[in-house]
This record gives sequence, structure tokens and C-alpha cells, in this order.
Amino acid sequence: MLNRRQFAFGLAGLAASPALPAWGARIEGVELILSTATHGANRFAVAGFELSGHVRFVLALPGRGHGLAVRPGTAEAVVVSRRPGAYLMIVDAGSGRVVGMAASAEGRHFNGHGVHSADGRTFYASETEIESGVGLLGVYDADAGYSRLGEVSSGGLDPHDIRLIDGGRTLVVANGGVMTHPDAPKTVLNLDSMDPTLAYLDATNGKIRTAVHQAPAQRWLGVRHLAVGADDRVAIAMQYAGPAADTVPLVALHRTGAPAFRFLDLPAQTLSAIRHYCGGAAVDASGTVLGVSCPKGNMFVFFALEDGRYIGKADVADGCGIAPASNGFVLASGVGGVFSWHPGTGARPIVGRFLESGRWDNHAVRMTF
Amino acid sequence: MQRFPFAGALALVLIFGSAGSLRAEPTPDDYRKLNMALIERHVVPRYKALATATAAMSGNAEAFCKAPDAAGLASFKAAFLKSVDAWQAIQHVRFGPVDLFMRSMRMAFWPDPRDTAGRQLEQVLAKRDKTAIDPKGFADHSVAVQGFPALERLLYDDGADKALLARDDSGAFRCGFARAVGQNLKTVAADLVREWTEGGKPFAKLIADGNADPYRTPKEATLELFKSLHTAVELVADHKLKKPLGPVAKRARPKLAESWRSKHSLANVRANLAAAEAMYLGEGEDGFSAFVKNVAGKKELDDLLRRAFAQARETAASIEVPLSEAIIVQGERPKVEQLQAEAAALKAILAKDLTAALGIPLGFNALDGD
Repeated sequence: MLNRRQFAFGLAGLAASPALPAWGARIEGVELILSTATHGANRFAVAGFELSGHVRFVLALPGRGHGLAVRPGTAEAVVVSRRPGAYLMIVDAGSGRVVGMAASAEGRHFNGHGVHSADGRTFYASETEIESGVGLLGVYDADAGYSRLGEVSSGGLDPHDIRLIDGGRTLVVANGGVMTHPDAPKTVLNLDSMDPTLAYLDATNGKIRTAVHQAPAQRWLGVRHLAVGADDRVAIAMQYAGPAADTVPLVALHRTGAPAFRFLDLPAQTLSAIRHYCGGAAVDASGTVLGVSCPKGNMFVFFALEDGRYIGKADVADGCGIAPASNGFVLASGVGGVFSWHPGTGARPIVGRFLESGRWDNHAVRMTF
Repeated sequence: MQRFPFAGALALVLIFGSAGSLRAEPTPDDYRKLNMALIERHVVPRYKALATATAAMSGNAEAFCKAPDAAGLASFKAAFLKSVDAWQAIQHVRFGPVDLFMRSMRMAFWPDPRDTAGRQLEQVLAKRDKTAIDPKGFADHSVAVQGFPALERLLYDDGADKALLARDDSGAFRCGFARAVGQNLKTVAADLVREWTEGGKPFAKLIADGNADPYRTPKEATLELFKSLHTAVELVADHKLKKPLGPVAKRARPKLAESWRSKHSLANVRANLAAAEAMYLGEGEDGFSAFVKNVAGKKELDDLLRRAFAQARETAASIEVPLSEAIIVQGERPKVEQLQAEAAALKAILAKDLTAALGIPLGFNALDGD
């Protein structure tokens, strides 16, 4: 096992630092938004569309999709199946074709998110070992059809979102802390022992460097979705599994090495309306504005990363998917409709019949090539 | 061939449902009236029934443990099943006092796919830790062993009768722990009734007022009540039937059914569906149905939902053997599959069309996030 692990991380390498950081990619040719969509009980898709509203492709998924990851420097994206997920689907966004599939490993399921190494050759997926509930990162060789190379501990239960920081040297993992099982959909099985963490892993060997735990008073505050600012600060969008009547903060920032999360303030009415649930997070192309989706509150909220202040919200029914755009954000609604948002203009619908009728699922991502 | 009598009608509603109503927006009073009717006639009486049933069961447990005999054990078991029925009639309510102090899980830690309750109960019984049977120390133990599933194991596991009637130290400890679980269920149920109805801020009043946290408008409380209705049907469709059924009879998993040890799985499903139907129709008057017809003006949707509830009720009544057998017996499995499909269809109508009629549209990201 150790050998497999070393082998896996050996491949990840560090030789190629990313030419362009994820938040600052120049638009050279095409700027596309990829989003998962769900139509009815059994129709799942991933779509690629331009900010003009032009739809480049729609591809059927073999099951409900969740997060997406863009392979750096390429037009390749990975659609990760929703927890408890069984597949990775590899898409070439240039041609709009499926170019590969990978199945979950025996006894493990995907948790819906993944990220490539800086050189794009390795892919890390958040996974759970089903019987024990142990949290893992599965390691895949992107150059070999995403064959599985091995796995490492994620540093907590229920790993969900993963990001790369520190020029590709560090993996950040949101360990939700919620124990689930495919035989008990949507049920928290460990409310009396929840311990959510934000774990920092050395991307060269998979070893956990540090794990920041929620304070005991906030042990029901699951660490679930991440975004990274221009200065490598990690923004965390959380979900609370405790009593509905509790007032708890839901958005936090964390800088590597800090002992605790720095929670961001929201107006009391807004915080209450969010109903303990953030669905996703993104940082805009400038790396300075954080957007967080709140589908239960039918809104997105925005913060200035500079000082963490709340700068406003956009009311979007069942809005969950959020991706940076060349100017602001793209926001997607579960009841149909995609919007572009900028602090100066607010939310404006992107016109297009397909975008308006699409039932946009949890996550969207931006890619340029 | 399976029949889905309301599937065609469902499609029509999905296509034409949103075009129908020209009525004005519901007023806060419309929501308040619905909320109060459901709280006063559905929620509070059912919690009171739960408190009564668990108090009686706790009494039975006390009596049995003092002088264990077969008749006492039979009474304890009968009282246990009555308490289970009372819980199944209100387990769909997950907001308010039951949301505090992990009460919902302490009443019934289920589903439990890793058998946490079983493993931890074994540890408690093996250690014979006195704090476990002391009312003060009991609450510090894992939530998984504090409620109905643990008590069911103590009463119905293989060899349970013999162990409880053995009149030795082990039997006395088992009985002591069963008594402590009974006491816990009684205490939690009594606390629920008290917090709903008494004190400076009874929860029923917070809902009636609907002008401050946790419900700043009556509509927000209606959403909670809707979610309870949805939860009742969802638990039946996605947990209590689908998981034990498995994809085919050969891959059925009877031990994923709830209450399979006491052969009460089907009774639970019937109680859950009956509770959902009662919430929809109203207990006498003014349930969701009255709102759909009179406020939203959607008579077709009301007819559809009434038919859907009635159909699921009839299908559930037609199953003639315990669920753990029905899912593998040739003549019975199709009925369980049909019931599961009907519950799933009902869930879909509730999530899409009832929320629209209530003016509380819920997207799938909000209802089914990750």
C-alpha cells in the first residue's frame, strides 16, 4: 500500500508549476461554463455553454453528477458523480465529447469533488470507504485513462471539496465530518460525534500536514465547499447539522497555519434566511471577491476577500451553481435560469432557451482554452 | 403488469399544473390558519399520545423488572409496540423541540446501516456499567442505544425472552437497561409535550405568532410543516421500502427494514402513510387539502393527491405477510414494489406541485443538497 501511495505521489510531481493560477487565467479563445443538470428523477447531464448563452454541448451522465474539475492547461474536465458516486466522466470540452470513464474502486464511493495536480497529470477525488466510513483521497493517473493509483487518508470523515494551493504543493480538503452510508440516504449517522476539519495535505506525498478542527461548540458545522483567493486564503462554505433554531456563522476564511477559522459576518436576517445551508463557493477572476450559494435561502451572498466584509446578495431561486466569469460570477438556478453577476450591476439573466429551462444542479465551473 | 392509476394524472398536472390559478397570493392569515390547525389537531395530540404510551410502557418495564415473568414480559412487549405505533405516527416531525438535544435520534436512531445500535448495545451489556442504567448517567451514552431500536433488540433479539427471564445478574442488567431506555423515552416524550404547549414560550405559540425567529412569517412555519409531510412519505419510499426491496428478490435485504425483529416494519409504513394522509387531509378539517382547494384554487391537484394517498393506503393494506417476507415471497413482492413506486410518485407530486400550490417552491438544490 505504501508503495502504491509513493508511486501515486511520485507521479504528481512538482516540476511544472502552473503557468497560470486558476483564478487568473487569461481568456485566449473560449470561455466556457460547465454545469451539471438534473431533469426529473433519471435524466442527468453536463452542459457546456458560453456567457453569450450559446450552448456548446450537452452530454448525458450515467447518474447524478456533482462537482467538476478542469485539468490545468487543457480543455479536459472531469465530472464527478454525486455522493455516493460510482463514476468519473472525462469530457473534452473542445469537441464536446466524452473521452473516458472511470468507476469507483471496490468498496469506495466518490463524494462528488476532485482536483488535478498542478501539472494536470494526477487527479485526486474525495472518497469514502463504505463499510468503515473512513475518508480518503483516491489518486488517479490522468494520463492513463484515470486509472486508480492508490489512496491516502483525507484527515477526517466525509471529505467533500478539494482544492490545490501553494503553487500546487498543498491539497486542501474539506472534511464535512458527517458520517453517512449509501443504505441510509441523507441521514447523518454520527451527530453525537461529528468532528469536521479542514485538512492540509502535502501534495508530494499525501501526508497530512495539519487539520483545523471546528471548535466544540460548532462541531455540527460541516466543512463542505471551498474556494481559494488570490493570496491562497481558503474560503469555506459550511452546512450546519444542529438544531434549526441555533444561530451559527456559515462562511469562514482560513490562512495556512492559522489556529482557527475566521468567520465572516452576515446581516442577521440574511443569515437566518440561509437556513444553515451553503451549497457552493467560488472566487471571481480577480481573486478578490468571494461568492457563496445559499439554495435554501434562494440567494447568493458575496464578500470582499480583502477584509471579509459582506458586500451584497443576489436573489436567485434555488441558486446553487456558482463559477467565476471574466467579470464577476455566473450563477445557476435549480428551477431554471443562469445569471451573470457583478458588484456594479447585480444579477442579469443570460438569455437562452436552454439555460432558462435547465434545472441546474449543485455545481458549475469555468474553463478557458 | 403494475398499475399506477395516478401516473397519467401526474403527467397532466406537471404539464398544466402551473397555468391554472388566477387567484390572489395567499395571505399570512391563510398560512397561519393552516399552521394552527395542523399544530393543534395533528402535532400536539400525537405527541400527547406518545407521552401517554411511553409512560405506560415505562410502568410496564418497572413492573416486569421487579418480578420478571412471562406475563409481565408479554405486557412489556405489547406496551412497547403501542409506543412504537405512537412514535411512528409523529416521527415525521423533525422541527421544534424534537430538533433540540438530538431528541429525534435519541428516540429512534434509524436508519442504522452500520448497526451502531447493535454494536454499542453489546458493549454496554458486556461491561454492565452501572452508570448505563442510572437515569442520570444514561443520557451520556451513545444516542444510538437510547431509543426504540435498542429496546427492540433487548425485547426481540434471538434469546431475548430467555435472557430477560433468567433471574441472574446478566438478566437483571438487561432488564435495568431496558427500563432505562423506557424511562428515557417517557422523559423525552413528556419534555416534547411540555415544550410544545407550556412555559413562557410554548413552541405552538411561536408558530401561531410567526413574527420572530425561528419563523418570521407564518409561511416559513408552513414550509416546516410541509417538510414533515414530505419526510413521512420520503422515509417510506426511499428508506423503509426501497432499501429492503433491493433491485430484485434475490438481492432483497430484509435486515435493512425498520423494526424487522418485532415484525412491525409494515405497521410502521402504514402508520407513516396514515400520518401523511392525515396531515394532508387535516384531522377533521383545515389540512393542506383545504388550502389547496380553497386558497390556491387547485381542485385537480387536491383530487390527485387524495387519490394518491388512498391508493398507497390500499396497496399497503393488501400486503399480507411481514415486510421481511413480502419482499422475497413471489405473490407479495410486486405489491411492495408497487407501494414503493406509489410512495415515490406521491413524494414527487408533493415536492413539485404541493409546494407550488402552497406558494413555497422548493428547488431540488434546496430539498436535496450535498
